Amino acid sequence: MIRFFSLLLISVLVASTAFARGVYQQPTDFISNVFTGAIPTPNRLWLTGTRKQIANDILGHPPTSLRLRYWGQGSRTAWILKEIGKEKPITVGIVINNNRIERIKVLIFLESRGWEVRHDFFTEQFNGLGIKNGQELDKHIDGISGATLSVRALKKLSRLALYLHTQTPFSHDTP
Amino acid sequence: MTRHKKRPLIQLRSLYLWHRYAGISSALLLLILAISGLLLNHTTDLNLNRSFVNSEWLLDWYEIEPPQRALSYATEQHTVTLIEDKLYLDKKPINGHFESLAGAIEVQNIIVIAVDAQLLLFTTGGELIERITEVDGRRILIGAIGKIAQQPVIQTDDFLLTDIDFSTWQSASKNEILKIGWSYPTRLPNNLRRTLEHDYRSNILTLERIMLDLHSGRILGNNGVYLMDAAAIMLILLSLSGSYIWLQQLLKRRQHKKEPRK
Repeated sequence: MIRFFSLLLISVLVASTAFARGVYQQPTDFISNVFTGAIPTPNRLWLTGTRKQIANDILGHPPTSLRLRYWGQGSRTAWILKEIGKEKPITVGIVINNNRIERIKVLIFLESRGWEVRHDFFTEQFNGLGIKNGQELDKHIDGISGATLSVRALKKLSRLALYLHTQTPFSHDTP
Repeated sequence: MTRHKKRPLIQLRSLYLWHRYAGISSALLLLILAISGLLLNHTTDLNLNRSFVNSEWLLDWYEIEPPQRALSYATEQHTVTLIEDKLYLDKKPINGHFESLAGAIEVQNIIVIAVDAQLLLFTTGGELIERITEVDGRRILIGAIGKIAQQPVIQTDDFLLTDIDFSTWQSASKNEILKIGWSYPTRLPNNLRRTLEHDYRSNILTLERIMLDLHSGRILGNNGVYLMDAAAIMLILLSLSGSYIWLQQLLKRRQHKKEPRK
């Protein structure tokens, strides 16, 4: 009996980890949910020169591509960004409004650990955050034990999105 | 009454000699076992699982075959090659695993590679500009890629024309379709083929695998395993014989101290 319950417990744990990984929302669905009405035409932002250097400082490695696609309307921009947690990329959708994070959502998670970062209780901590000097978040984010690398990846991406927003015509700070 | 000295079960001198020669003869194998074991304990720290062997004779020893599948497309100044699941821009490997290469073109100093339902845009220096996986919000299945003057064209279920920013897409007219210069497979130059084949082979065998095989003896096949088994058994016997010799000598010394001096 004990053996049966042990096996059942292990199966449930393994299954829950397996189901935790995957595609939670398609990036296109995320973008269409962000904007009411028609989705704006995507814009492009080149990561060259100083931008590339700052992106490198935020991520801790050179950005994987030189040009990023984003969607903007009014004072809002939406970004689909990827960063490796430990071994595999985590795809995140981030909406910036008036230079503050309006929403952050984990869209695709392929890592074997750290999937807890997809939960609202974690991502809601980012809502309303901005960046201060040195491209740091202006408020502390509570981590999740066992998901340190995924938490770190999401913090990096949120800082990057906030910085990139300032580089677009949709930011009021940009001349 | 004469005092009988109790003789040890095993002659100490012969055991000592056996211990010495067995130790010397198995020293090399024990060193290999110990060093490879130490390294394997720190595989991640030493990056052994991500370091690859590029020695030709070791690759041959492991019978790592040259790749069977190679498909190449040439642009004006560059060559894009898919070797098995690895994609190269000239000699530079591109991150990721790929299945099917549909072609490559060069427009305004941007190299566009159509591979696995995506377009990869590179600078002529080999830096990734962008990865395009969707057209108007739909995933693309690319049959072929070409260009009309400096306008890229892809063949999906339709012939789609785009601009160099890949921001607007439109169907090509019949006249335009006739003008498309398609990207066709080309023969890979021999020297580039040799370089890429070597690079491909050099990214298969990890140092961790070599260490594992050295530790288990599998690097020499089944006989190597028996050799390492013998080394392990020898290590057990050496530790037993060493302990026995030490114990005997300890007892001898104590007995010597107890005996009154004449």
